[in-house]
Amino acid sequence: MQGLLKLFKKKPMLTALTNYDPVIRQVPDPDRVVIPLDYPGRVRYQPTVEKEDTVRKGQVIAKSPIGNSLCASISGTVKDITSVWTAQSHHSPAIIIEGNGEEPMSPDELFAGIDDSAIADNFDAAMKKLRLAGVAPPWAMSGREYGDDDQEIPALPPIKAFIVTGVRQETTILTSQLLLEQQADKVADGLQRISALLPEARVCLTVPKDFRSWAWQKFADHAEVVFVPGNYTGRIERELVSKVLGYSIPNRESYRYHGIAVLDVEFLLAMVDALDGKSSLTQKCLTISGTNMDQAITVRFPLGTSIAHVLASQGLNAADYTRHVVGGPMMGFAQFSDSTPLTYNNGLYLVAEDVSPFDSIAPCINCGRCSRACPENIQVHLVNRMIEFGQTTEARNYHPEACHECGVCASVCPAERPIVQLLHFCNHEMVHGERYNWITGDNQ
Amino acid sequence: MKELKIFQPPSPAETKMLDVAVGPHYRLGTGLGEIYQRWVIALLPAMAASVYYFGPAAMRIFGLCVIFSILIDLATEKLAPSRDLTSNWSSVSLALLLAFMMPLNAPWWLIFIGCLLMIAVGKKFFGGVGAYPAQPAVLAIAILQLSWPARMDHTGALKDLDWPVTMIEPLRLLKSMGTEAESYYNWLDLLVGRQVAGTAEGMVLFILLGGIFLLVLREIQWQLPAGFLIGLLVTAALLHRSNPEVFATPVFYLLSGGTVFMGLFLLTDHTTSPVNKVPLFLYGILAGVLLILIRGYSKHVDGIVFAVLLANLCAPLLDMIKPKVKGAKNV
Repeated sequence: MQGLLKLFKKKPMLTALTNYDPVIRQVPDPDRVVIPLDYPGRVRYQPTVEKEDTVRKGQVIAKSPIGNSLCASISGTVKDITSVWTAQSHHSPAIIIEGNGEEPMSPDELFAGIDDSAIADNFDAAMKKLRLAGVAPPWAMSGREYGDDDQEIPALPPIKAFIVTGVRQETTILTSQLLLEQQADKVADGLQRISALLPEARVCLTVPKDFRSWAWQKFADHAEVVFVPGNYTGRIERELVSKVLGYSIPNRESYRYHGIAVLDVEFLLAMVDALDGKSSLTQKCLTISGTNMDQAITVRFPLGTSIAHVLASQGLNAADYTRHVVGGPMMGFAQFSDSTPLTYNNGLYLVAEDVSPFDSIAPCINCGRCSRACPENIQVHLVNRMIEFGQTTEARNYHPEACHECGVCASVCPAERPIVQLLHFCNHEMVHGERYNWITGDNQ
Repeated sequence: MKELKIFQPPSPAETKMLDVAVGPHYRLGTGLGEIYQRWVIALLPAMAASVYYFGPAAMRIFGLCVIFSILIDLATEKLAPSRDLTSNWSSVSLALLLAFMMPLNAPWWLIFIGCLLMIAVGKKFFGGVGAYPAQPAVLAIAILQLSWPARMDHTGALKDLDWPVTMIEPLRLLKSMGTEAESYYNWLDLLVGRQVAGTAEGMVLFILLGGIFLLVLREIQWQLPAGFLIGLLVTAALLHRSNPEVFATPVFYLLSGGTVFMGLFLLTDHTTSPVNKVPLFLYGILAGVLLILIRGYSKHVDGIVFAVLLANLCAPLLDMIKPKVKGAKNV
């Protein structure tokens, strides 16, 4: 009977979470953190510490070629510098620190030798401080810090537009909107500082629609406020950015190459802290949600904490769930181990159902749900079969390169076909390299 | 510096997590089976009406079609494994579509050959569900109609029935005696299915109910039936105006035979129809025009199967009309 009723029911796409705990809980320092040195978009750090060195929380342990730094998130001893498997599904060198419970490094010590007099309106002085604090803002990252041949970093255009995102793409991730709500004054302060540092740039802030009543008067003086709907398709970041700008940026290129900086509210707050000389970036927020959880939890954890530690600190048992997805349900990566370190990840989506990998050879019946759902109007129903049968040249006429890999097509597919992966494969074949938002494990 | 970490063998708790899949990790999970179950549900009103009118004879046709189709599906799957599984219900939905168009007195061997042509040749031969170029049920009926025209005669099948209506197929009478034939039929009788047609294809009102069910669930798109209706009515009206002796009024064409069944169930088959709005609309118009031309100028009485087959062949061409991709860039 229930099965019969199921046939008549319209199935919902994911909408914004309504049942969540607004309090951001603090995760205690773990005994051991693993801090990867390789990040998506080709950002790579070189360790500045050696094995068996003693480090303190907040101390710089690695630097990138252009001077961005990574800070230790707990005090302890560097146990090893080795290669680990990261949450983005690629191998990366990493620094492993075992805690000894010592006091963190004081901010005064960290920022010693920095001239504070000019940071309010001097871009370069502010940059220096931010880089030291481990807040690598998008204007500092070139997107790629090394090329295919490890040669030089391309020159960057000046910043035309600065977009602060108060909404994360995934509907299950609440970090940005909670911080925006709870620390609105600080966000407004941060926006003001950005305007002072970049007087030429256009500053925009994306805000959830629910905040319309108060957000307008709070932020309208400091930035252009863009309201974002609660559904997933309205939140896709690349779409949102092209809507704000009025033109779109090719998927495979970093925003920064086009003079656009996109920064999350969380990093804006970290930036304000760093400019004030209060702290360096050692913590990150993360929303834990799942299919059988009563309410979504948002936590703040030291960078490099394992999934198991974060879950245990909230009274959750990792073994109760069949799939741990780092990121959101649409674009996240399922993890094979709960000891994977979490770093710049925003969400943890737990699946408790009895899941099995979908049938990778399920036939497409041309029902067209994917094409109707696609926010980019790609003819997914044709393209995915062309790629399946190896006609990548033919598929190219249908512009698969416009795909954001948002996952809407595959989530509505009744045959559960790996549509996103097929399109990814085709794009990879076409451009002979990775796109900015692609994460590959082959950069040896 | 970068070297592969040698992993320890996973603990029992971890082996469960090795069952990882690629994203997205939220899927609606509709499933092919569910789609075809919806089609079967949409066919139920017309089946019920048919059983009400014809009794056990209709049940025999439905039962034999479904049983033969499932058996042939299982057998072909054993002989030539494909990606198409019996559990996805597509054979059941196709079997019912076939049964709708079979004459009421079809012998068992005719039904068997029909099912064999439909499942083995029409569907599995091309690679199973999702791969066939022409609607298999229609293909089977077309072959049967050309091979055994006498056996596929609906007028003969219903001759023993005692109904207070003209017991000749409306379109056959139209063909033999011109537009005068229209006065022999009452449109209300045609609408509720008291007309000479296949087992259930003439139950216009009940088929409409099922079609609305599919339209509400967005299983089929409104552009296709709308285009079909426009193509059919406009062509019929023009031809009726130019030659009122031979061509009946548009509404007569719409209500007689399997016209509504074709527009809502045969043309709309996912695999053989285009996907986008404009191609769907054009596809509908094309099918409507073809249907009237076949009925008016060919020797076939009810040309729905040939109109569907011809329209199916144009579907890939129409699919080339593609909307503008928003983020299209040169790579």
